[in-house]
Amino acid sequence: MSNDLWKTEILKAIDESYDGTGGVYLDSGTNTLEELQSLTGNQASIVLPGAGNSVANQVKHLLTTVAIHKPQFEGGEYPDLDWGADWEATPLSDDEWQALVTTFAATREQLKNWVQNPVVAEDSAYAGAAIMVVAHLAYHIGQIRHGIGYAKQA
Amino acid sequence: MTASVPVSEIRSAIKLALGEAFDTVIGMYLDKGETLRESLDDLTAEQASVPIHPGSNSIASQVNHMNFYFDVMKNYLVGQEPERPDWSLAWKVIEVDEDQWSDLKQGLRDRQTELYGLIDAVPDEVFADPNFLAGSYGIVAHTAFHLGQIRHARAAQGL
Repeated sequence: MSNDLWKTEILKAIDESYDGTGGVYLDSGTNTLEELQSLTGNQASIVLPGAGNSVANQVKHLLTTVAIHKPQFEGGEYPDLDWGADWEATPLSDDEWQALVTTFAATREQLKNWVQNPVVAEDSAYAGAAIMVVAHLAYHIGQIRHGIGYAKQA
Repeated sequence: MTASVPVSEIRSAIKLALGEAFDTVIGMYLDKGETLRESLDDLTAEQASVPIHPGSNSIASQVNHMNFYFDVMKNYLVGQEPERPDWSLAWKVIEVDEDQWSDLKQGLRDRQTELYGLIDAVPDEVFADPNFLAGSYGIVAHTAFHLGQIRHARAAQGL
């Protein structure tokens, strides 16, 4: 199969996870990035009762996961990461939150670039990694959207 | 670097991603114990009917929505342009009794089987069609999205 073809659809799903464009799996008009930007630091830090995590925790986790994707597309060793730190309840100021969102927004191009131009061989592991990027993003976008809904009502 | 990835590799990756969401974690993006089967099978109808927060949907709603979505996408994948779906129906179910809840879960399992059969059966040239590819990725992403919400909804109930 042409790489352009199967990658194009993956890239659309990545875009959709951030700003809703793509038409792959979300309702039209769902712009998660814009909604993240609209939250205050306090709202983003609200812990969803029972779930034990906030929207900020989810975003931090997605940033950490990018470090795992790096060796999948560029090769090299997997980093030794402190996954638990992402889930610690740490209140963020508005500035800290906006900086976090800006960093998260930048991961979109990083992920797309990896899918388009991997250093590793374009084999089954690579195809699996590209689809994993989409599935993992979608899983946490689902939780982020729950978190946004709760934070705006709280 | 090769010039292309065989359809078989894409087909396999999609099935693995779906399998992870439904019932078989291989470490693509979930931790053990987080599949749909493990997230739904031990829930009572009462637990499945609790909105995650006031005015929001329930786990039963999520499963009903997933079943509705699979039915729409199945037609799409086999090349039948679906009539414009009434997506409001996909969110109609909020509260369920035990029989309804059992039916919803069985419906999801049936659709899983059907979906696997469809992915296995389509010839390579169909799989390489942009619509089929987009539909397949859409199913992977949509399933993961709602599994994430179901996991959140469970946790919100302390489960």
